[in-house]
Amino acid sequence: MRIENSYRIIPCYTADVSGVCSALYELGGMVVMHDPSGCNSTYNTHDETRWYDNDSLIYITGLTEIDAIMGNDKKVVRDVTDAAKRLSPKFIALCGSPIPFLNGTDYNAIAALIKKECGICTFAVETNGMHDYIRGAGAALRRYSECVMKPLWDKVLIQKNIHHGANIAESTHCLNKDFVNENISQKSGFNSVSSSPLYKINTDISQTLSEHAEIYPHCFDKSNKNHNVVINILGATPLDFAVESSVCSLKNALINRDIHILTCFSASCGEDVDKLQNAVLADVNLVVSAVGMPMAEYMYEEYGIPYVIGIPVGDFADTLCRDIKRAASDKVPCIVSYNDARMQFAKSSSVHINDNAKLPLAVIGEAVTMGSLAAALSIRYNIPVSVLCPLEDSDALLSSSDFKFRGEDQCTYLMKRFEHVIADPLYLPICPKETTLYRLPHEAFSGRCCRQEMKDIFLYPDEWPDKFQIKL
Amino acid sequence: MNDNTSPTKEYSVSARDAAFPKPFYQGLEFNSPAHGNWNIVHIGMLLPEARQIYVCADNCMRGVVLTAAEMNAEDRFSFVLLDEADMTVGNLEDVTIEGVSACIDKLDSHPPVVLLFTVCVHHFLGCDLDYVYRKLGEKYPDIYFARCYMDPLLQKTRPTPDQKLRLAMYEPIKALPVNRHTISLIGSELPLYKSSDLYKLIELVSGSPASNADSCIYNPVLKGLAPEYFTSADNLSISGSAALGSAAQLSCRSTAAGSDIESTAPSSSDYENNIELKEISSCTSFDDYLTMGESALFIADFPGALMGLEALGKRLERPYLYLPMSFSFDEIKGLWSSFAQALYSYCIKGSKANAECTLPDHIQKLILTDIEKQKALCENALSSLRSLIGDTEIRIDYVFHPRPLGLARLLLEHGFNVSTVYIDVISTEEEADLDWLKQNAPDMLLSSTVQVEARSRKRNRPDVLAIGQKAAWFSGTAHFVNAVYGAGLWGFDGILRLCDLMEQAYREEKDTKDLITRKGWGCASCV
Repeated sequence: MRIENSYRIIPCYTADVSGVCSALYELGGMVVMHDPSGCNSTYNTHDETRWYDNDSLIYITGLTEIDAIMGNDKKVVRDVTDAAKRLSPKFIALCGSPIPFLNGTDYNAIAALIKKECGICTFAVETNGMHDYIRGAGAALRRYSECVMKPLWDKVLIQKNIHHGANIAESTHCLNKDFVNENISQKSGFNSVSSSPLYKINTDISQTLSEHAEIYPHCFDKSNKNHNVVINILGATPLDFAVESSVCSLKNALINRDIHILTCFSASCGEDVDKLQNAVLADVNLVVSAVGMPMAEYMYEEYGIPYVIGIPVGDFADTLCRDIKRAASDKVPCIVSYNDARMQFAKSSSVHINDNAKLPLAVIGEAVTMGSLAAALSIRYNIPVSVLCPLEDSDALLSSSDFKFRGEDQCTYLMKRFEHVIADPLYLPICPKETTLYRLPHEAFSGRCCRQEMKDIFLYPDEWPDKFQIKL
Repeated sequence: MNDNTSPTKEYSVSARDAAFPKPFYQGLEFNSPAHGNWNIVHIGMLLPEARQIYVCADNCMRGVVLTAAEMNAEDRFSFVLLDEADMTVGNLEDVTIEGVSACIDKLDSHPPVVLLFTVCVHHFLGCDLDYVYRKLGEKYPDIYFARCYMDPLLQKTRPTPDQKLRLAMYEPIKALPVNRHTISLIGSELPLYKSSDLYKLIELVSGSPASNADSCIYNPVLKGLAPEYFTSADNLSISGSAALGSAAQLSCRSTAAGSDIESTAPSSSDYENNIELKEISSCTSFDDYLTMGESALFIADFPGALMGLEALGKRLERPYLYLPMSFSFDEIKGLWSSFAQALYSYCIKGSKANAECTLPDHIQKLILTDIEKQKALCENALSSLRSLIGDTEIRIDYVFHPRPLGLARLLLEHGFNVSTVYIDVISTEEEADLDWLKQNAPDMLLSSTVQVEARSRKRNRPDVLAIGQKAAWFSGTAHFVNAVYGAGLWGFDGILRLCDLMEQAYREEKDTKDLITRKGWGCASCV
């Protein structure tokens, strides 16, 4: 038992299971939580802004005591298959809660059985309800990429290369071996691939590619060095971008700096889900929250697409976009843009803080969004800004001036070291009196409690001037 | 009725073909955005000065901790997060004790009572809860640790977490010397209206108004309730309230009619038979709550409270009476009789056995007279409402009231156009109503609220008059009665109030999204 697991007043963050649902919400699939009761209600009440107005197929299995004890997985297979046959989802994702974790439920086996029964791509996302949403949503997007998108992406790449007249060896050199074996190498007559079954299936892809060739000619003509960089946005869910306008603001901030957006995972802003298959054509992936990291890593491993981490907020936006372009041109595998910016600032800044003095400002929350905010604030106010991060799987996203913490006591201890903190209002009860807290609600923390004062983080910097009254 | 129906996998089934008690196959489950029902956090917060401590994993915790936060009660809520190591090392007892201790040690002062919620994991791993509670009791002798559970894994085959909570919350109550002037209502989250039949019966039997009939609801948890809950009966303006007179008024009317009731009825100025009806919602402190232990009679009106009622009555060796909320005139009549008899025996006469005392004729006459008056008022109200709304389609849900089929029956019997009842499992209390529907409204639909297709059904019937939040959401209507769990409606007064609420719903639109997504109807809410 760790003492930091005991809480007096602040809530816990959105859990992994809800993260899975949030990440996959708009992708046309069916998400099934293996859970007795409560996961669905918790998720759609506190962690999901879209539940009332936008239908998405998200269910629980209604696991019972006897089925848990006897390991009656057949019921899960039967119930999911029945539902899938009625509802025809594009894919099925399974995730789990503590009891299935304890009885060792083999989700991958269940997924395989369901896929066999109903013919719909089915995959498991390993969750057990004991981690935060970063873990669940991140794993969900990666598994979605592996199981649903990869076959489509491979096909798009082949089509693209054929469009260029490349031979089949070039077309397939970066593709998954299994896919090649299953779909291509066993077929004869590759010189006339357009007549093969594979490409009959993909007439829609071909059409889409033609459209994109007009819009984004660089995808098909890399010799044009003046082309705009094309990116995918990875990790945009309402858990970190709850205000309806924020994903659009995010896109606008990029577009205004000559960055073209191909796809957005997974808050689509009403985009056609089918266009997600073009994501593989992007120059760079932009990771806008830690949720996007596993998918970005996967796309780099499989397709060599570099990724840049950060959001274009405030005065940091220009730096981020420069890094995106640098990643595209120099093929830099990964840039944690906001940390680089903050390091540059630390090197160049003339501000020195007494060792015993309090630090000026910290931001609490998710590593990428708050790291970017910290960078923007550093630039704006010429002060060092730290990130205090309570979330998992974020170590690589923090800088040496940032802090990880778990629990109320550690948080209070860290907050004491700062004059000001920007944090969700539900941190207020544990904020020391000598530290000023500026309210920035975070859906994954306070849920609906502070939704009325939720801010579009991309507009937030404009409200800052003179707000902090920071004295160094 | 014997039939050979079996649960269907379809979204809806006609009453004719509905299987009892489970009309629908239980497969994957959907959860609608209608969240006005109370959960264990809401219920537990009614216990004055209690602190709730939960020991569970993140996903379960998130729902309860934010429930507390949304009702502005986060300062009465602590929790211990469990991780994989806690569950696999085999020392869940120690983890629970240490975690709960850490939560308590963080507080400035000890609460008198802690509602300690263990979860499915404790049950599944065979955690020795006796040991846990004993050790905590030894460590904190000034705190009462109530055994509460958040274990939905068991809820389909055993008592639900809220049933067990309604039992656990009353366990701190110890037997005090019997005070025949006090009775207690057990296990109802929502307070009775002061115009309720139950208050009225106290007045009829005792000859004086219930001593707390004009008192306000204390509990800050209930700040979301409508103003009429905080108003005495005399200030109400509902359709039938003018006729819901006091015993004194009845007495005068009877005299005018030439009867001799006035001379034999207890005098309203004589308070020797004064009776107080205690409810959890009006308790001002934990000590005040414990005085329920002096009650001469315990009653409950909500099915989920029955287990707690029986346990409390048996443990304290006091009489108890289940007085369900009903829409059947005959059943209500029987309940009036049972309650009046029990009041007379245990409170007026101070007897220990109900059968020893027979309700005096003059009181029986008073009651029978009033029953007829109330029935007539209800008939008039239903008739007027029917004239107003005509054949408007009506849909009802099970969260609005524990007797949704009984409500459908009442309305159908009075000519209303009830098309659908949203319900997933039928209570044994409603078997007879289902049988009646099979015979008299075989085409009326029962629709599941959790079946997978419930997510994607069209919700485009703004013309529907919905009774309940789920019915409103599934219909897509802004014309709905916004209430849950019977909303403190009881007996004839409840039917009159329902007519009033339906009329309001028919005439006015509500902001469905804003209202039904709030948790815990009637609770304080920051949302």
